[in-house]
Amino acid sequence: MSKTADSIGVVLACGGRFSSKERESIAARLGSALLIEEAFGSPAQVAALAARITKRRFRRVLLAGIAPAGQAELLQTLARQAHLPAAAVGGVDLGPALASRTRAPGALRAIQRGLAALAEIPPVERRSLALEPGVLVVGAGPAGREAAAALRGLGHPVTLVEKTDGSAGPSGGPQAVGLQGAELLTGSMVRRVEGQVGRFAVTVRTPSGDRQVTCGAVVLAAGIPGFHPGIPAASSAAIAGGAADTAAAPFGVAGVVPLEQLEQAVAGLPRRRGVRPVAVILDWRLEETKGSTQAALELALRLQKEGALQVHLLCREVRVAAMELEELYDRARQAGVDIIKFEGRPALRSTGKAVAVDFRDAILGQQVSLECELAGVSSYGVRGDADPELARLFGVSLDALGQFQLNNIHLFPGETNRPGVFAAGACRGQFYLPLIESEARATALAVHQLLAPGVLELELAQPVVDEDKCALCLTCVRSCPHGAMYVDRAKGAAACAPEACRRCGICAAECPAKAITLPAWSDRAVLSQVS
Amino acid sequence: MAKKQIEKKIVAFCCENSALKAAEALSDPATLDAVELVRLPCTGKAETGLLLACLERGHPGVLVLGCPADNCKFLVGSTRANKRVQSTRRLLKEAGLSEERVRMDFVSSVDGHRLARIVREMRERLNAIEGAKV
Repeated sequence: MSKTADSIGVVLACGGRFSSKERESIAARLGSALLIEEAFGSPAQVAALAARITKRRFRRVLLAGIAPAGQAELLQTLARQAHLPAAAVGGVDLGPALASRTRAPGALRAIQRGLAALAEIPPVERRSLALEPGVLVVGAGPAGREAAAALRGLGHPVTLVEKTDGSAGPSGGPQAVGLQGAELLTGSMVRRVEGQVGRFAVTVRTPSGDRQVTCGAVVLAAGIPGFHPGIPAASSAAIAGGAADTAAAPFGVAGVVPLEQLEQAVAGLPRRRGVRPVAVILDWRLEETKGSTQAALELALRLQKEGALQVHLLCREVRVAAMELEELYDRARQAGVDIIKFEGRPALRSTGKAVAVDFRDAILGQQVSLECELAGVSSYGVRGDADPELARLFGVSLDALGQFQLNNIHLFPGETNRPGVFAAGACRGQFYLPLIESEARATALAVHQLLAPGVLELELAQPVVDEDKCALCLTCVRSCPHGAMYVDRAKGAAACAPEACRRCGICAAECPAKAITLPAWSDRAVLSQVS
Repeated sequence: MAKKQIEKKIVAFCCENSALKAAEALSDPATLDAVELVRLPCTGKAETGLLLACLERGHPGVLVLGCPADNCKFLVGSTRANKRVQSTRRLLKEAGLSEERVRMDFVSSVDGHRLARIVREMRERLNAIEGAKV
C-alpha cells in the first residue's frame, strides 16, 4: 500500500469476527502495517500491544474494530504505554461494516478512512529541555520567607525580591527569620520578565542598579497592600485588606460602627450598671475568611472578658476549619460570647437609645430582633488587591476577587495559569497565618517537583505559526491561557513555546489570519471525523 | 436514479475532557443517534469556520459542548468558545438563517442525562425550523 500505511500501524481488534479469508484479504491490502489481535481489553493485552507498537517503531496507530463506548480511555492508555502522543492513536468502528453484506471491503474502506484521518497527524518529535536551577521568590513576607526557606532546604538556589527596605515592617521584616542562604534583594522590584517555565529571565531593579536573575520557576508571594498577617487582631482593618469596602453597611445609623472601631466605641460608652449587649456582625459584604474570622473571634472574646458586656456574634457561617480556630471558637463560647447564625443579611435600625438588629435566625427559622448598644459590622472586603502590575509582568490571570489563582478545578493550590509561576499567601487569597505558612511550604514542594528532575520532557506538538500569514496582531498572545505565545522577533511572527503550551488550540481558533495550526487538530483532521 | 438521500445528523463538537466522556458513559448510546460526535482537545478549538463548514455540508445543526465555566482544563477555552458560538449565531441571523442551528452548551463529564436532554432539545428546535428534519 501507500507510504501512509507503512508508518501507521493497524490493529484489527476484532479479528475473530472475520473469517480467515476475509482477514487475509484485509491483510493483503494493508501489508506489513497490520498487527492482528484477536481480543483486546485487558491491561496485560494493552501492555503487550504497546510493546509491539514500540518494537515496530510505529509513530501512529489505528485500532480497527473498537466499540465507540470506552474508546477514549483505551486509546489514551495505549498511547501512553506506547510512548506516543494521544492524538497519534486513533480508532475506527467496524460494526456497520460487519453488519453489512460486503463485510471485508466495507471494513477495509472504514480502515482506510481512519488511516486518512491519522495521516493528517504529523509524527511528533520529542525533546528534553534542561531546566535552569534557581527560584525567584517575589515578596519577603511570611509566605515568601517560608517558601524561600523551604526551597533552600530542598537544595534550590533562591533569590528573594522585597519591595520594602526590609528593615522592619509590621510582620518583623525579612531578616527576622533565617533565610538559610537565600539571596535577599531589598528595596527591589521586578521590572521585566522574559522566557518560559524552566528558563525565566527576570530583570530586577535594585537600589544599586538592574540585576538579571535567571531561574527555572517563580513564586509570587507579594501579599496585598495593607494586609499584615503577623500582627495581632487589634487592627482588624488590616485583616480587612486595606481599603475597606464598607459602602453597604448603614454606618449612618447611630451605634453602628465598622468592626475595627468597635473597641474604641465601647470605651466611649457612658458608664452605667448592668450588662450591656454589643453585636459583632460578620459576613456583611463578602464571606469572611479564616483570617478575618480569627480577628473577629479574638475581638469578641476580649470584649466579653471585660465583664460588663454581652457580645452577640452574628454570622452566616463560622469559618473555623483550622485547629487553632476551633479552639478559639470554643474559648469564645465558654467565655459567654453568644454566636448566632443568620440567613440573608440583618437589617440595622436605631431605636433611639439602642441599635436593633433584625435578622432571620438560621437555626430557629424565625425572625429575631436583638437590641444592642453598639453594633460592629465587619468591613471585610478584599477585592482586586493583588498587585496588578506584577500580574501583568508575569502574565498571571486574576480571579474574580482580584487574586492570583484562577478559580479553576484543574489548577492545584499554588499553581497559576502560567506554567512555572506559582503563588502563595495573601496574593492568592489566603489570609490566615498558619495556613499561609503551610501553603507556602506546599508551594515550595510543587516547585521542587517541577525542577528536581533537571529536565522537562517535551512533545513538540505545539501549534505551528505560518510566518507568511502572521500579521502580528497579537490575538494569540492575548488569548493563550498559559502565556505560551510570544513574538519571535527574528522571524517577525508569533511563535509558541512548547514548554508552556498545553495544546488546547485556542490560539489556532482565534487567529484572524488563520496562520496558526495545531498539528494534530488541523481543520481537515477535525472535519474528517464528520461523515 | 433516485438514490435514497442519507439524512445528515447534527454535528456535536465535544470537548474530550467533558462532553465526550459524558457521551461515552451513557448507558444507552441510542440516545445520541441524532448526533455525530466530533472530538476536540478543547471547545476553544471550535472555530467559526468549522461550525459553518458543517452547515455547508448539509448537516442540519451544530452543537458545541464544552466544560462548565471554571472547569475548563485550559481555563478559558469553553468561555472563548461560547463567545465565538454567539458571534456565529449573529452571523447566521444576519445571513437570514436561523441562529438556532448553532448552539453552545456546557456539560461536565458526569452529566450524561443532561447531554441527552441537550441533544433532544436541539432536535426539537431544529424540527421546528422549516427544512430541517432530524
